[in-house]
Amino acid sequence: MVCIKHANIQIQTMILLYFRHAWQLLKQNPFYSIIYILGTGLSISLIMVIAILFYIRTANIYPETKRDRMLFARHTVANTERSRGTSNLSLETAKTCFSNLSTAEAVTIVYSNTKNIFAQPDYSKEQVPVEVRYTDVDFWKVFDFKFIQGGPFTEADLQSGIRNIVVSESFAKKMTGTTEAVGKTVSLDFENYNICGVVKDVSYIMVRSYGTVWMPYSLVPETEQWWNREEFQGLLGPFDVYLVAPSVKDKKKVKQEAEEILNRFGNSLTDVKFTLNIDNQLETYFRESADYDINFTIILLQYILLIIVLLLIPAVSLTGLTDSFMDKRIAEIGIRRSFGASRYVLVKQLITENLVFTLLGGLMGLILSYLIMIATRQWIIHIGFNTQYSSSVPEGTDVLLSTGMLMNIPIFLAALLFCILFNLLAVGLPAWRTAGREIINSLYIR
Amino acid sequence: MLNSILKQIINRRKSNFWVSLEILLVFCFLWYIVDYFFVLNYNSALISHRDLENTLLVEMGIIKENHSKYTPTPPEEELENFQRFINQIRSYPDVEKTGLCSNYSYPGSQGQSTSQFKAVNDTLTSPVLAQFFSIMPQEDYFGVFRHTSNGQPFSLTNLEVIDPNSVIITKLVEEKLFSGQSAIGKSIAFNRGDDTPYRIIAVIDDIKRFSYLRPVPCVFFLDPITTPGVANTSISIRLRQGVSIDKFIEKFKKEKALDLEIGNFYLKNISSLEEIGKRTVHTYYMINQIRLRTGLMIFFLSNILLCIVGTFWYRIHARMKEIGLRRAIGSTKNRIRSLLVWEGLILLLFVLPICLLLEMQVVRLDLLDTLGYTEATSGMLPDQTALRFIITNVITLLVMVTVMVVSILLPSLVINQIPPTEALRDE
Repeated sequence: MVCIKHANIQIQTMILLYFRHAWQLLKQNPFYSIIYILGTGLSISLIMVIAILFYIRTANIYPETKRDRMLFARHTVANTERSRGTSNLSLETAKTCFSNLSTAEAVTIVYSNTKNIFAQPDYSKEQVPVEVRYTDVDFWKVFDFKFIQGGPFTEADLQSGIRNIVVSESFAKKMTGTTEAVGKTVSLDFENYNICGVVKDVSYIMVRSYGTVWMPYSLVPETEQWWNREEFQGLLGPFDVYLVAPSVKDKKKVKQEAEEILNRFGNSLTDVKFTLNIDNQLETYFRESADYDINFTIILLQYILLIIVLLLIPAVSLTGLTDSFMDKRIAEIGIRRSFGASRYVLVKQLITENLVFTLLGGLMGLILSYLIMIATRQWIIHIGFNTQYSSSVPEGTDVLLSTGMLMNIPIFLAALLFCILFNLLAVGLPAWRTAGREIINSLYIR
Repeated sequence: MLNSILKQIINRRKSNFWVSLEILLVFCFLWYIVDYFFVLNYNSALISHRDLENTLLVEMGIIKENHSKYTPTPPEEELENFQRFINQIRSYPDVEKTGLCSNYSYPGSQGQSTSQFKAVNDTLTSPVLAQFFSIMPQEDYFGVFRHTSNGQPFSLTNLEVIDPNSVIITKLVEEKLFSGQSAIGKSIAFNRGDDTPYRIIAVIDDIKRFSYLRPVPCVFFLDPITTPGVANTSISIRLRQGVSIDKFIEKFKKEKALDLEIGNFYLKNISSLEEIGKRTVHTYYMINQIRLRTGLMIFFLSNILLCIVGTFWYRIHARMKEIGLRRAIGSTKNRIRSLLVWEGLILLLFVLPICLLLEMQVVRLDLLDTLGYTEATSGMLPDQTALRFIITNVITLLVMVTVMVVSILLPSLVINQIPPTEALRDE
């Protein structure tokens, strides 16, 4: 125990020594330090933008705090002898297939995209654009909305078609002048609706739950609950189904049960072949239509290639620079080797010292990535591979980026990991070559 | 001088290896992006013979039957209400012209309809794939968007007789179906079994769907307004020259919202067609493609700048004695700088053949996109592989040379400040 403790203290002292040495090198070689830090910062900033986008799309963020336990049934293909249709589900199909899942914690049926309508404020004839999401009652169990006042609409509202709605706090303020708007009435497309709940604003980035107004799907006209009824037997429509498993491990069981039910349903149909995918958060993001076989290997390779390019190009440029910089320290390295330091120890020292520069560059890169995200938030959220279509942010909508989306442990760990990787790429080879030189050549002074 | 430069390059071969590798990587990636922008800019330079500046789309809302505020209206009255709606808009100050078309026939719309068309009584000529539109001849659609025919302003009011089976086509359709002969008076039909002939009453100049695409063959059907069709009709307007769009929209919404509550119709929204077009282009991921590539290009060029600046700063400081000696025996600062610049450019020239070889593999594997390619417009410059390859590489080379020259000259400014005696001092 004493030996281990002593060894630990030795290691800590050594690392502290390396960092102090590195700090001195930084002050003595300002030009190299600036170039290295800038080069690292540039690389890390773009990589971190990709990492933040990935985090935003997959992590548990308000109100989608159960993403890791969620499954999505969204993309349908119906094939008949004469034609083929791709869409989301009809309300009828969604209810038939998913109402009785025993393994799921919660199941919700929602209108796939928000519908753009207009509100008529009392104080002006100018109409206000509104993004409406039609949902059922279980929507409020699947997503963790924070109610500032009131609560969600009820099953009775859904069944009877009563116009009780939930609104976002900014919409409530805009229409009624206050966030305490429960009990007040708003006009949407010239119909009056009663506000039963006000929730904290949802960021546009949360595509599955975003809206300005949420209302029961019973308010969707019947003719808009399905598409091409005659041709595809009412299978297709504008609805999605989201399932929540009791735990991450139970997702597999829920998926299995859902697929069994879908198989039985498919077999009961005549003259039409029906396909519906059950996806997790990442799969549903990448899938564009149901018969698009997601080749995750290709998608992963594309992202890995992009990250390699973003790491490699600056690393190659800095390797040459680092090589020249290490030439100045050859004599020092030679002396240490002549006193018995092994190549491995010297390489470790050089890499650790350079890590100071890399971490400074990484910090700069991380801050730059935050600035890029904030400045370009209106469109950068739609950047990605396998993207043929992207919606533009609705008029008047400001994409909200919370501090939690940008500053969190996974992002910091990712930044640290990329810094270490970059450091190895940029400095590994020069350090190995410098430390491996013959002692005589290292000590020779020209 | 060349011998001296080559000797210096060999002396610093270790460092030059990394610089060359960096130049190779950046050149190849840059060329890929330059190629994309070359095709994009080529397409953008092709003229679209219509003008969207100062045009707006008026969105008319319709209160539906199940709505509590719906007023049952006979079809003739519904049509009259619609006409009153149009008249209100047309008579508003600063509105120069109004046009009507079906939904998705206005410029910049998200939807488009395409079909194959053939020349009637001609079995030899291949059909042409064309975009088709449905225009209501009652208003001046072509005038709103300033379409031209043979360079002259075109309007439906110029034509004497318009029957329901008339069509207007663009020059590309005329070229493809009638071998460049006049198509007026001739007929076309859908190439899908339905042989209903549509008589061509005019040929207008070619247009593009979006600026980044090439002109496409277009067919305009002339359909009178019907009551059921009112729900699918889009109203576009052109403002008088010099009128501010934003101020007009604000004023129009305030002043006309009440006047336009006619029967079951009301004013929903009014927006600039240029903005609508931009949003549609965004939907097709074009804007983000351009932004992504621009960002990557800046990234690559910044890297090469940092690499060259850093490398040559070290080199200049390492060769201070040599520089001092050259200056002491009469060499000018500019001559020394040009030696350094040529050192960098010769590295680029060494690497160039390898870059071209790698790029040829990309071309051979068909990994290059030709944005906006259509069969009807094949043969344009971006379709000529060899010429396009040469042009894009020349552009890339010029960009790289510029960046490298700037990157080498920046650290070489230090030569100005150090007198020869200082440089010669033995540290």
